[in-house]
Amino acid sequence: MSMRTNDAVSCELCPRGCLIPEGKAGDCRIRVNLGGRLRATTYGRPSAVHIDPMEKKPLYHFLPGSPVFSVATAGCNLHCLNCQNWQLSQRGGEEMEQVFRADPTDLVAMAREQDCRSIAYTYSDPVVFYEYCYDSSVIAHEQGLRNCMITAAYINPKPLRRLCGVIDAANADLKAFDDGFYQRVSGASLKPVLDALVLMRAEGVWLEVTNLVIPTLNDDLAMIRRMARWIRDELGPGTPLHFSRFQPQYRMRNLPPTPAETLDRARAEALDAGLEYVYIGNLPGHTGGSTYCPRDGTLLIGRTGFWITDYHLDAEGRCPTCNERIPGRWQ
Amino acid sequence: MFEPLSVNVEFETNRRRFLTATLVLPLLVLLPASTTSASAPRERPLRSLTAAELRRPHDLAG
Repeated sequence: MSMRTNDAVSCELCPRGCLIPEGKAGDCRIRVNLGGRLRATTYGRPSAVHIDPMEKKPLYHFLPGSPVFSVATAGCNLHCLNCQNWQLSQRGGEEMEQVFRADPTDLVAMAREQDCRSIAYTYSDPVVFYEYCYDSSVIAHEQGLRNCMITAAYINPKPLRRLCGVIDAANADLKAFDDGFYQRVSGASLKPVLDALVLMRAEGVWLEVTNLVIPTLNDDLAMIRRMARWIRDELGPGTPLHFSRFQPQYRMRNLPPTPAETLDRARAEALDAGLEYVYIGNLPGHTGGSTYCPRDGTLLIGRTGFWITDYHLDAEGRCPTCNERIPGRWQ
Repeated sequence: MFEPLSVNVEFETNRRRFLTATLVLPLLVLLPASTTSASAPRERPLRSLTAAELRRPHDLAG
């Protein structure tokens, strides 16, 4: 995933296409040109390791209620002004206060010992610790574990296609349906993200989408409608969409938290556009965090925050009332 | 006639010693400590994490 030009190396992993001089790092801070070869300095060196409920990712249609071994290294290829995990994502590995030594074999062994059925590559973005994610995922599959990634999906098609071969589920951030937003807030662009979502879907990865709704920046209902229609047409009406509540963070402390009514309106708009599973997140206790049958409205999975309070699907993921098959990976 | 000058020289010497003692020496002591913590992350084997540490609530999103 790199090409050499004199002493500099062109990184072909993400759409930034950094040209990295000898001894320097790319924009993500962790992919470094050492002697003309690109090295990911955080390989085997995660800085965050936790066991979370799957609902926290959020993945609502993938092994619900199961604990997921969640891992991240420092670094990110986006620089969102509102980043929720900036202490991890906007630093290089050498800047972290704590680093764990864990090669892929260690990681998978630990996940199994802790009775986790899956590993999530999350918190920062697995795109920048691609090799570590890929190698760990291969071993995880060999040992019967599933893999999921939580990502901004800012990655080129070739490396993504390879990664999809070992990833079972993904929650991809679709930050806005507006290229200007991507440029101003994240220092990125929209089209590569859309292409990546379509590719993940085509490669058979179970895909859920998250849209963090930020007051005045991406809460325009007409834009939300266009985004929902695009998801319906390109990814399918059964694709879960999570509208998540913004909290003032990092370099965006001048805006208030998203009002609940804004999230309600966004959810209504997306349902009206034809999406069947539209959720509201970061708002514990809201009924929009539960799963309902799109055919008859039966409560299928009740949630409060990250916790499941009701579960009425059968083993094959069918509605107990009308037998509608609910899309997802339930076992 | 030279008396005031020698007083000034002595004052200047004392002033330098005072500044060295109060400003420079503490910096020499503090700087290496802060540089060390910024450039050398605390590394530990993953195996040293306990089940309770792994399941402890945290602030990271995702």
